[in-house]
Amino acid sequence: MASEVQFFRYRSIRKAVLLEVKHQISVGHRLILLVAFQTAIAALLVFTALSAISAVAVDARYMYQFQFLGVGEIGKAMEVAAQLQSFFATESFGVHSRTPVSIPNVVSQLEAFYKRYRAEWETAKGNTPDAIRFRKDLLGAGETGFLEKESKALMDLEESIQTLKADEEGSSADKPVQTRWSNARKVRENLATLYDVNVAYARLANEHVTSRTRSARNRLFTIGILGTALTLFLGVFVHRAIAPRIRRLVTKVNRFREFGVNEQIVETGKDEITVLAHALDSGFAAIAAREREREEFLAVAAHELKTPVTSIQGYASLLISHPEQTSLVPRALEIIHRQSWRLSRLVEDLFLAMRARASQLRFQPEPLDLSGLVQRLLLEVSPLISHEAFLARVKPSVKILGDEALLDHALWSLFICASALSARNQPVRVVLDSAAAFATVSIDVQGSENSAQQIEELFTPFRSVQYESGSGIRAAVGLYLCREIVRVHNGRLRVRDVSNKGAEFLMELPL
Amino acid sequence: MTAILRNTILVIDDDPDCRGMIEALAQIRSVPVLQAPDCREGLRVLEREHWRIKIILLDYFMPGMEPAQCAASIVARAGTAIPVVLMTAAVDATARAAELNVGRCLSKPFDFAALETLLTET
Repeated sequence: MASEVQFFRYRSIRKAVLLEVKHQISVGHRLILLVAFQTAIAALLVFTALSAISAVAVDARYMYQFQFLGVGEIGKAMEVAAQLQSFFATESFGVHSRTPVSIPNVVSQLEAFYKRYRAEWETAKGNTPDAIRFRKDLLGAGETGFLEKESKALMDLEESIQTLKADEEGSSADKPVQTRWSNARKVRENLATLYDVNVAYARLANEHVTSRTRSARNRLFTIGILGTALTLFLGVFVHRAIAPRIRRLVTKVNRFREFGVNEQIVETGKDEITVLAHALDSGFAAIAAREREREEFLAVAAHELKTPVTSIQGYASLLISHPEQTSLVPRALEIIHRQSWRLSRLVEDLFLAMRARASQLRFQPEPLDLSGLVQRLLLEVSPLISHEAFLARVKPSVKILGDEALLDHALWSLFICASALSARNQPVRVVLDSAAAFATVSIDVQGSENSAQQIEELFTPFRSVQYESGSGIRAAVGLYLCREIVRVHNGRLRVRDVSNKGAEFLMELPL
Repeated sequence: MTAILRNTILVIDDDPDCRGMIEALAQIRSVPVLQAPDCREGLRVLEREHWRIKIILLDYFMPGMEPAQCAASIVARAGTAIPVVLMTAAVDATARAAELNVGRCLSKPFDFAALETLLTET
């Protein structure tokens, strides 16, 4: 039971660690890890290959210098010994050889060979690195018999060479040719024994070298296979940690593109994909919000356009259906005329708003009597307002350089908007004044439930929700345009809170 | 005992031209009309003249009160005796009416024949 609990605890910890690794390590770090691992594997392979090549080169030199050269030199010494033996054999039959042999020279050659062998090729007691290495190999393989054989062969060879030398240094006549032949034969036989030992050495060394080469090849192969497998595993791990999430992102992007469905992308990590997912989320949310605002704007615009059309069509239908009602004609025509004019202003407003959105507002400044414009607009707007009146204080003869058509729209929209935002039966106070460098038009919004901050939102493109839910929808279209118009006049349009009264629009235009 | 005669139309709309047009048409048809420019005034008129109102024509967007709150108050006060017809220039008039729990709706601009029929309904 306890082990089961431990197992589940281990699994849950492992899962948590994997999730942590999966979502916390950045994509860049994952890729760096993958590349670093691949580089390490490649470096290990190169290092192992270089080591193997180096070992093969060392073995080749060793096989040549220590093994084959030694065997070759023994073979030559055997030839010399055989010549000497053959010479004594000929002499023993009383026949003088055609090719005279210098016996001291031969003995000297054999002595030189013996000394060189002891110095360069002796394995049993030699001190060269090759000898030490080979001795170690032989001890490792349990082939110590050859070492004894070599020692004995060398001892016998030295003794036989010394005997030959003593024969030569003493009186030649003292020793019968037969004995000297026999001594030469011993030298040759000892050399043959040494030759056999060295041939066996060469065979064993070859086996060792072959084994080492095979082992290096296997090591290379194993590292290659393991490295490839681990790299693949790591690659799959990186792929699984990245690709499905990117696929999910792409699916959501496609769904948004094709169907306009904005689904939140749930990514809980801290890596770049999560950052990308959050950026996409907020981007889509902004696009969706903008789309909603656009739809609302269109709905409001349609509603706005329908309101004057309702009166125009209604009165026209009334006159057509009841032509006998002649007393209605003047009033009906007056309403049709007024609402047609309102409709044309709305259409113009929409058109200008679209141009402003595309930064294509046409600005044609001319000397303009702002006082006259404000007074005329107040007269025009008053009949459109059902209950509020305007209390105007207009400084006469305020002249600016401005575009009359644009300012006409801006002021008209602001008057309507201020009227609609103000509390019922509250007059809208309009003041036109001028200071050193600016003409200022202030329009009060009294008793409004909206703060300056809320009213400020009405200047956002397509923003009209608060306005329509608060105090009607009639002037929502014009506010974004108003600020654009004032901006192209190098002026400023603000909304500010006025203590105890509500808010006010403040338009400043350069004189 | 005198039977109560419900023959009056109550028009609640902030657009005076629209109210005037309905009133003119109603007068031609000899239907008495009461007017209110907003929801609060409409509620006051409804309270006062409830006994004689046969139908209420209610605009959707009006200053001073949210459409849902306005419609709920009017429908609640009208009760089952007085049908409420929503007038709206919104694109989805039927959906707006359903949203406000108002049974009938009339799209702006009006279908004049439908408006006349509505005014002369008993």
